[in-house]
Amino acid sequence: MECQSILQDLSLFLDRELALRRDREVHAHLQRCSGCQATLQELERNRDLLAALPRVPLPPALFGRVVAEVSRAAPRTRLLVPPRPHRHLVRRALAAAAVILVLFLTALTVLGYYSEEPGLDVAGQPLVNRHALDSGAPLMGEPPLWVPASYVPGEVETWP
Amino acid sequence: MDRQQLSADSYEAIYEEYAPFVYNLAYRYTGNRAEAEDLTQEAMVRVLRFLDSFKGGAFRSWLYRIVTNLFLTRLRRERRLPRQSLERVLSNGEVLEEALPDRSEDPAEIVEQTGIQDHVQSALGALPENYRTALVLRDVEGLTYEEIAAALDIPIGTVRSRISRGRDLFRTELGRSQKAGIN
Repeated sequence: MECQSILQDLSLFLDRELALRRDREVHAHLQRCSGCQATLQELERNRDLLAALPRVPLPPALFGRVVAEVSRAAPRTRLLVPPRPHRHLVRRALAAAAVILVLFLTALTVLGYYSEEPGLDVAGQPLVNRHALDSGAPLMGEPPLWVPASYVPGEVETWP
Repeated sequence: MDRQQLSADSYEAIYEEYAPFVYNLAYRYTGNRAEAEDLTQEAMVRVLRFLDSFKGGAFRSWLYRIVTNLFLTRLRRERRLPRQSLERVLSNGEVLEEALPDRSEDPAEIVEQTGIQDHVQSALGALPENYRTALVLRDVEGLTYEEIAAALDIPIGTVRSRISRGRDLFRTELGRSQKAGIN
C-alpha cells in the first residue's frame, strides 16, 4: 500500500516538485524499497532518453514557403482575438430605431385622435366636432368626435 | 518588439531564430517530417502575420502555445486519417529516409544507433495528445511546470498530473515498443 502511494509521487520527486515533508518521506522509503528504487531509475532513464533526442534540422526550402504565404495573406486579422463585428453597436442602433418607430406611430395615432383640425369623410365632405355641436364648445379633455357636417344634434342616427 | 521596425529582413531574423525550435517541437509532437513541416509553416506564418497580437513577455511561451494549439487542432481534425511515419531521426539530426542511400555507413550500426530513439519516438507518438504535449514540453524541451501551465493554458495541478501520468504511460509504451522490436 505504501509503495502504491510512493509510486504516484515518483515523477514529482524526480522533478523536485514535492513539498519538503513529502519529499523526505519518499526519500526515506526509497532507501529501503528496491522495487520503487528501480521504478525511479527507469523514470530517470526515460527522462534522459527524451532529453537526448536529437534536434531535427529545419528544411531549407521552408522559409520560401512561409514568406510566400505571409505575402499572400489576406488583410491582417488578429490571431488570438479574431475580429468580430461590433455587435453591441448594431444592437444599440436597432433598439434606437425601434424606439423611434414606436414613438412615431404613437405620435401619429395620438395627434390624429386628438386633432382639433377636422378632416374629410369618405365622400370628401368636411367633418365637424360633435361635442361642439352638442354643447356649443368642445369639452375639455374629451377627444373630438368627428361627424359629417350634415349631422343634426338629437336626430336618431341611421347608418346606410 | 516594435512592429514598426518589421521588414523582410526582420521576418527572416525572427524565422531563423525561432523556426528551428518550432520545427523540432512540431516533429516531436507529430513524429512525422511532412506534418512537422506543415505545422511549422502554419505556425510561422501566424507568428509573422500576427506579431502585433503578442502582448509582450515570454515570446517562446507564445510560440509554444501557437504550435501546441495548432497541433491539437490538426490532430483532432485529422484523427480519422491516421498516417504511419516511415522516418527516423539519427543522432546527428539527419533523417534516416535521406541517410539510407548513403552506403558508407553500416546499416547495422545505424539501426543500433537509432534503434532506441525510434522506440522513444514511437512510444511518444502512442501517448494521448494531452500527455504527449506535456511530456514533450517537460522532458524534451525542458520547460518548468509553470512555463508548461502558461503554454498550455491549464492549471499547474493539471500539469503535474499530466506529466506524472504521461511518464507512466510512456514507460509502458516504451517497454511495449522495445518488446515488439525484439520479437
